[in-house]
Amino acid sequence: MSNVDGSEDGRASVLTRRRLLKTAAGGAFAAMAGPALAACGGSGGAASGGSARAAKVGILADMTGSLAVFGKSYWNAARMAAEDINKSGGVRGRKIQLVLADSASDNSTAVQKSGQLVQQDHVDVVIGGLTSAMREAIKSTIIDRGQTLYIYPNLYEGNSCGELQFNTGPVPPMVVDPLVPWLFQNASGKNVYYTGSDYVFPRASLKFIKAAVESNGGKLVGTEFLPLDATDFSHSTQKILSSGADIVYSNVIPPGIWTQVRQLTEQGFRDKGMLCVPYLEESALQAIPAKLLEGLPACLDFFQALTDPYDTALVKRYKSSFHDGTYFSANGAVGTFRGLKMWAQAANEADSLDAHDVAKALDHQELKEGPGGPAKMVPGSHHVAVNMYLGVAHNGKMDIKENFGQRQPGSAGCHF
Amino acid sequence: MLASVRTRIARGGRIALLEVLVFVVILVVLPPLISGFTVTLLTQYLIYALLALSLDLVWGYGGILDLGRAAVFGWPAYVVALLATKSHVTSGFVLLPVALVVGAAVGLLVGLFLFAGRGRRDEFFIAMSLLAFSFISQEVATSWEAIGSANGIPGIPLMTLFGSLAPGLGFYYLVALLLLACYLLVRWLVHSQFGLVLVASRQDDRRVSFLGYATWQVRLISYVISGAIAGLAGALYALHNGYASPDMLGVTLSTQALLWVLLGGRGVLIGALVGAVLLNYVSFELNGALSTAWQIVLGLIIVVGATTLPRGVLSPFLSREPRRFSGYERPAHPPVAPKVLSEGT
Repeated sequence: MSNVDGSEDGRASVLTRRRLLKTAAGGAFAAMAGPALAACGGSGGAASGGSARAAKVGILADMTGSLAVFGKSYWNAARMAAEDINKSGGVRGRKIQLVLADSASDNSTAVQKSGQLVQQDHVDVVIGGLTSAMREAIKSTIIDRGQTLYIYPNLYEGNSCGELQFNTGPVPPMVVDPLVPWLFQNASGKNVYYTGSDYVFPRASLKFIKAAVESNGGKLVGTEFLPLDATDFSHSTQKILSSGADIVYSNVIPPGIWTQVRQLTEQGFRDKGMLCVPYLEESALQAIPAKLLEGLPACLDFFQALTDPYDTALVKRYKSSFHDGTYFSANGAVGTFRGLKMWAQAANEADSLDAHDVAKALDHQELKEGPGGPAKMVPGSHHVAVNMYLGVAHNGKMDIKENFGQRQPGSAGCHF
Repeated sequence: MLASVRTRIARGGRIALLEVLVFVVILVVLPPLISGFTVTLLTQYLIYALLALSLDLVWGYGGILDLGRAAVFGWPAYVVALLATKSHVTSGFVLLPVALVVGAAVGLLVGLFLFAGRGRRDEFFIAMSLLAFSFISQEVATSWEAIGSANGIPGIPLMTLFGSLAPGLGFYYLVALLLLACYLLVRWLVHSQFGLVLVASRQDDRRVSFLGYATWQVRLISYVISGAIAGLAGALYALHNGYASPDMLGVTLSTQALLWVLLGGRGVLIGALVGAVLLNYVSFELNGALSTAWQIVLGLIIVVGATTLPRGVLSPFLSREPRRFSGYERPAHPPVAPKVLSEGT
């Protein structure tokens, strides 16, 4: 991966020692003026550069804190994509530069860091943000106040829109619409019990689940939203058992979900009923014993078990390049890879780095070859249509049972 | 100008050189030196300084260990965010006063519950209640759909104040001047008879009550004023960054505010400011400089700082005067405590 290092921004390594010395010196006000002056002088050239200016891409990832296992895979995925882009000619004939900013699993840090990317590093696009709350927190700084393109790469609830915002992960209808009929075919009945953690994504998903269940002749026999930090599911499990549910569709988030899976298994629900955790991907699989997860279905835009040559090579390359315990998976790493490639194509097509020009080109961009197959930005929607797959946990991995083909964001997308 | 400052110092004797220095740096020295992102970052730190100032009034002087300071910061931020996004009110002449009022109102509600009535409530009870208040506030905001649940309120339009005010030098000056105004108010307050009673009642509530002061009212008023200042800070934060979210109400921010004041020096107003700016700056720079270990290093710095300089980073430079006012100075000859007549009542 040595040539990838060449594409990274020099700022991080060059300024590190000087910054450290300043920090050590301790004079807050005096020291703060220093980087400001340096930033002035250093960035002026880059910001005002002519047509041959190298493109700068800001990656905002949780490199530290509770979400680091996902954040690091964003950064790894971005480096792989940048390597590909630079190998095939870069953006407008110049190699692109990546600038990493650590949002530290914290929204206010993310706001500061995205401000730094936009105002100090003058990046042409920011890709990143993991939770929905973080995305909403940094949007104003990047888009409204910074007039910079923003790409959010993760599976989320949908309908987060902005003229300069694009989303390269799936949204609920893409998961729910194919998954529900599959569940009905493979479970013992059509009575569905829906559980979710009490926040935006599970609540937004409910609307689509209800519609999909009813239009497929099933019945929603129960709905329950549990606190985000819920760890005891015995009451909920009893309710499920007495509801006559054949299927439990659970958008409960970790770590609570592991307890829920355990309790539903121990109470015998899974002997005849089917439990589904739709967002289950490879890194989440590592959290608990494989035996407990055996047979759980999920529906995502990428699984490592994909057998086409492009995806096999991608997974192999990731494994041999990075040894930090992270996975190239549908947790946002895939969306980061996809987003960066689509952006580079759009910038080349527009032959410009101006946010509005690139946005216009990005709006109809198609990625012929990408993780999980081709991807297509649906014009006017700012969301992608991608292949969705049905995976089932088996021996600590996800086996692919079905390819649902390219699914559309539909009403969860935007309308421009 | 320097001459006039010197005369004021000589005449008043109360404006410590350090305080003047800090505000001269904020208002005169820094603005021409900084640009772009540094302005944005410093503006945020000054907003945090405002929050730290409000906390130092109640904690450093009033002895109220406010473990839930973020709640009086976050709710006004939400109100302002809703006004700006739903009702399209963007004038700072409306939003900032609203934030002051909402902050004061939240302070009053909480304060009435905690301080009303004779006698001093158990410190532990007050601290835990405030912690719970912050925690509950965050939980409520997280699950309340009308205010955006966990996603909060994004896309707050720019504040207008003689024209649209984007993050930049204009916003910086606004925050710096509001900080100066609040600082002077709090400083005047703690040096007044009111402040003396506040500090005295922290040390011995019963004795001060015997002198005829309604100490709970003094505590309540200080909590309301500090609530207004924290509310102002919350609104400025929301308008500056364009969003309000549940973690602006939560325990993490509450704890961070405590650390700023602790490291800056409890009961030293200028210390709270310096602590907030310094700790945020160090944290930001460490994050950029060290890839994974920065939080560990930051933790070590805080622990070492708090143990070697328990009175704050400014303690080596401080005259004794401000500390005497905050009551943390141990008297050279401790007075003999009077025997309490009726311990049980």
